[in-house]
Amino acid sequence: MIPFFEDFQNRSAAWLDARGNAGDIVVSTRARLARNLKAFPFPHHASAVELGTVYGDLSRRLPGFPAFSGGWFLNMAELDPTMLTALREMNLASRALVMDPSHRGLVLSRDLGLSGMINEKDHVRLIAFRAGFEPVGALSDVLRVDEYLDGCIETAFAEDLGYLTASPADVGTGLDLSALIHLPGLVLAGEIDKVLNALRQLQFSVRGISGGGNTVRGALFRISNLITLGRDEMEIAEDFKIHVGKILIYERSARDQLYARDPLGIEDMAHRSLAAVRHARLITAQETFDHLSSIRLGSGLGLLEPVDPGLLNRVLVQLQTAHLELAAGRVLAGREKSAARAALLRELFAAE
Amino acid sequence: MTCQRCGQRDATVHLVELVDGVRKSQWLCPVCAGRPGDDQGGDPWFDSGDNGEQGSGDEESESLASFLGQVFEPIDGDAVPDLPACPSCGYTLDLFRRTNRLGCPRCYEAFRSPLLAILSHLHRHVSHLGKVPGHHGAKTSISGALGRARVALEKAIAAEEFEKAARLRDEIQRLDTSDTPEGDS
Repeated sequence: MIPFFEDFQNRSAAWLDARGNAGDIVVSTRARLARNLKAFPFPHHASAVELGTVYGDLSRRLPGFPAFSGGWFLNMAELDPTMLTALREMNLASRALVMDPSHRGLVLSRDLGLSGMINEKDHVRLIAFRAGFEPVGALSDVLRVDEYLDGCIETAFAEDLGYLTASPADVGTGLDLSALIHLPGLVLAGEIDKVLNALRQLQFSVRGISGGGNTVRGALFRISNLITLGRDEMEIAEDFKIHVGKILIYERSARDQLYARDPLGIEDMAHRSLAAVRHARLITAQETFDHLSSIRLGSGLGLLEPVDPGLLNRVLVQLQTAHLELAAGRVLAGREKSAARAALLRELFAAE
Repeated sequence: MTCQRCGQRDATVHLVELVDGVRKSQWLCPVCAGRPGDDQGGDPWFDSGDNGEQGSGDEESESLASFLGQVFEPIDGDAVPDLPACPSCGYTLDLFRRTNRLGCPRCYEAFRSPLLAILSHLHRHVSHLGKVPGHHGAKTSISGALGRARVALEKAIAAEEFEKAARLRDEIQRLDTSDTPEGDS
């Protein structure tokens, strides 16, 4: 058994547990730096031998960073598909890292707050997570790992263009800052498109997935910077803080207005959702996201008995297929997933 | 309805994404939506609609890939017919057009002029201002000042502040001759 996956049910990221800054709206903040070795083609264009050499080099050096001692090193090629998917569900591995797992690796700090993906789209991507809204904090965490890496590798860098990356969209600082944000107030008020479009005008990317109709699933969005060149790292982080910070203000006022307009309606929605996760016997992921969103909103407005905010974060990960399958110890077919998910929710949200 | 991506299986997943401010809706089969079974998509981290075929990978949105594509088109029609392949890794401009990725760090020199156009579209700047890796240490302060002056120049030109732009141009020339790192023109 691979040590990381032993006792997997209790393996949760610190940035999902804690109640961070603006934790009523922002689940987590992530800072990611893309770095490459000067002498090698980027992973998608590298031969197996070249990938192997880069992998060998980085898998020896990267775990030497102090915060990685006591953590984990995962060779993707040794993991089964369920484990790979579980890492994706935890947001620790990207699709590029798990699609072709040979010569791909992932190094993780004990609390999963710092990580490094080897031979992802770039030779190495360093990542720092923080709970809540902490762009500057996440940036400073990831820069510390980068300074260490600077001392061990010959980085692909040009004086005028900065860090050279597989995609020109990352060139310069190679910095991607993003936040996972819950915006039910703006969604319910019908203001979300306006607000998100304004963010896009300011060169941020906004992603959200909806299930059918016009409802955005779970009202969760990932907002990240698009500009990586021509600004220094701190400028990017401050800019992110200012513009995304405005969204938080809009969201709070949207929530207050909604509640002022229809307190009973909001309260009803939150209680129905809590009842659903406490009593459903079959429940899809999509449905669960929506209920969790209502519970989070209701709990934030003080309409429900207090719900542990860490639980609401953790369950977003745990309700997904590979996590359910690892818990069950086997692959689950169609309806079994819905049943397993419902059972998990009943346990986690059981009334006192 | 059949899946709009593979055209074979039944579509059961309705994926709606906001791409460049436009709501993009697709009906997909569970396989193309990234997850088999009863779950409609099932992944909260915004990438379940991406099957990686276009090399656009994970959360680095499709919108970015399509944007890159758009940026490239006019350049393609314009004047950069066929630059030779990268001498270091053999990558071609045509491959870049299709994957939105480069082959190796040296590609940035091989395809410099079309890339600069793309970078100025993507980032609105073409000079790095941030951190410099350790072994470039000695040049840090000068190239930092140079980069800052270049960005200021871009801003001044955009704002049509031509007197200021002229001053900055002189400053850039002065900095540039005091330190001429290779690759800087």
